[in-house]
Amino acid sequence: MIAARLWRAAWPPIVVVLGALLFWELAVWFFAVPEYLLPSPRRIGRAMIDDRDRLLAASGRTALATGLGFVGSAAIGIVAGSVLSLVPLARRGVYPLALLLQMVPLVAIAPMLVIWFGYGLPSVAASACIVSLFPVVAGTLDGLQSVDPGLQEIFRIHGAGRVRAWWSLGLPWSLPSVFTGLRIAAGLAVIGAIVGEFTGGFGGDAAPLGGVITSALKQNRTPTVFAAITLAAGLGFVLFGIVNGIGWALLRRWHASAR
Amino acid sequence: MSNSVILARLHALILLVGAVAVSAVPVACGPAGDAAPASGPRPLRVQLNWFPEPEFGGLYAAALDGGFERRGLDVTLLPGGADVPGPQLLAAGKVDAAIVAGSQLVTLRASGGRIVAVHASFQKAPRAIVVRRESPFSTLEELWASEGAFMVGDGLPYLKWLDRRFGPSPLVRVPYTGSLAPFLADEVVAMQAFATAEPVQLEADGVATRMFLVADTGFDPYDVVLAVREEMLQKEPEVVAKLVEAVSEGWDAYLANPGPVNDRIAELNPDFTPRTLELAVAALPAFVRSETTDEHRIGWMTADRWNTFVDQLIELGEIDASARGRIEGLFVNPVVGSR
Repeated sequence: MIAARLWRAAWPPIVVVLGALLFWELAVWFFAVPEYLLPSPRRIGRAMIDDRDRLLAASGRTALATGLGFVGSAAIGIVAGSVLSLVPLARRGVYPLALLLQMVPLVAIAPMLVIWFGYGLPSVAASACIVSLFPVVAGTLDGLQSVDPGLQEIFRIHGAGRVRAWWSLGLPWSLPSVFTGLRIAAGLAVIGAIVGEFTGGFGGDAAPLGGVITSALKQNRTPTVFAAITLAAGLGFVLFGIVNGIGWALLRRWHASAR
Repeated sequence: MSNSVILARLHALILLVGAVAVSAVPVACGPAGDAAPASGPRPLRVQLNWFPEPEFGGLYAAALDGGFERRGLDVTLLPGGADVPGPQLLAAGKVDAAIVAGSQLVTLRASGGRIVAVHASFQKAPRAIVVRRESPFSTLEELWASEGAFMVGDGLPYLKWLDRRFGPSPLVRVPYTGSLAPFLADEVVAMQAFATAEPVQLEADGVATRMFLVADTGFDPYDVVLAVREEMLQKEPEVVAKLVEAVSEGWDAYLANPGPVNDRIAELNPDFTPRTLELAVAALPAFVRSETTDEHRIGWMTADRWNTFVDQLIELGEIDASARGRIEGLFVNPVVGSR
């Protein structure tokens, strides 16, 4: 049953992806596009196999930084969203500042992150955390702000405090919108990590995907650049899938979005 | 819509996707075609590989003194940065000429890119590594054997060369984005440098440094190379020769009288103060002039130097020996009036 359902969900994207790869391969061949401009999918696949040890180790490093940054932004984001919802004054005062976080050009502050947090994992994870924070805050706050007033009234009548109401009513009610925020954050965390690696990641044998991209670009190894980009996108997919899975497990009993 | 139109559009689309994918920088206008307009000056877009600096003094001098204009060239100098893929932009036809590192030119040719070196403003490679003056390292070899963070653009062959020369280094490589802050904050023990740029900038800021030139270890390629597409060299040899002549003349003018050009550079790159520029220009002649340039002109290249470099790259495994054929013909010294 489950296999059949999975297949039904999976075949359209699989067909689209295979079709796109085929078109890409043929187009590169037909127009004789040089490899250093746009390598064919087969050439990228070969780069992945030839460079597998380095790319695998690099993916592991990027995955760790992305994961840490994402967990950080999820934790900080849900707490911050909740505090903003519970304290109206903070909401009016701080929320516009949280918006600023979204506007800050990460590329510009990434070099500063290095000076604040040091090279390697700390600054890369911080970079991933900063870019992925806002959607979680916004999702949490939106969810908590839209709790059914009738239900809030019931909690109030029965003498529940604000924290109790937040825990038993607000949080469950806002889970769908929290998870919408987390899904957006998952993709952003990967981008944040790669950008952080451009300025703060290690190089040489200790290079993460961002380091592999910059160094391969300098050497005109475009297939390796694309292989690393593909793996980075894959990381985003995996993280998105994990978030989706957790969301589904938490929501499937009662929420329409998970049925 | 006819088939040929569809094909042309498809082709354009693919080139566009490729160019977007390889470039970290937006290119302001559309592709710079090779076709000259019926009349008026020939427009040329030249991509630099760093921010406006005295290392491009000859080019800015030619632009400022009218050296390009007098030869019927309308040259636009496009400043670069740490990750501008100049060689790819050039090969893709997004610019007409680009300043590239010698190694980039060779590796791109090895993978089939048809670009050619026509001028090398630095006769001695200015690639250097700097440490603080008070650091315990008095030679590059000592530094190479030490631990700590080394701020450097990873992936360039001279790092492999130094590993081979002095043994694999325990230094941890961290990215160099053009900001000196991590060096000033002592987050790193050493940083890559361009002999006439960072050390001078640091000195002007009151930070005394010690500089090790990579060229002194036996790895001395043409590192600041003006390159064009092979196609343009064949179709418009006169345009290329005029461009090169103007740049060489610009260098002579710049070294003789750097004032006006320095003012222009300071305008374009406010990180430079008059004092920094003065120090930089004082350091230039040792790199830009040589016996070869005295005999010919600034920017002149010899086959010996290029051959040695290609051999070194093959030895380091940067390129395959089988690529020699494709690399052949990687440079010319264009002369106006000779086809």
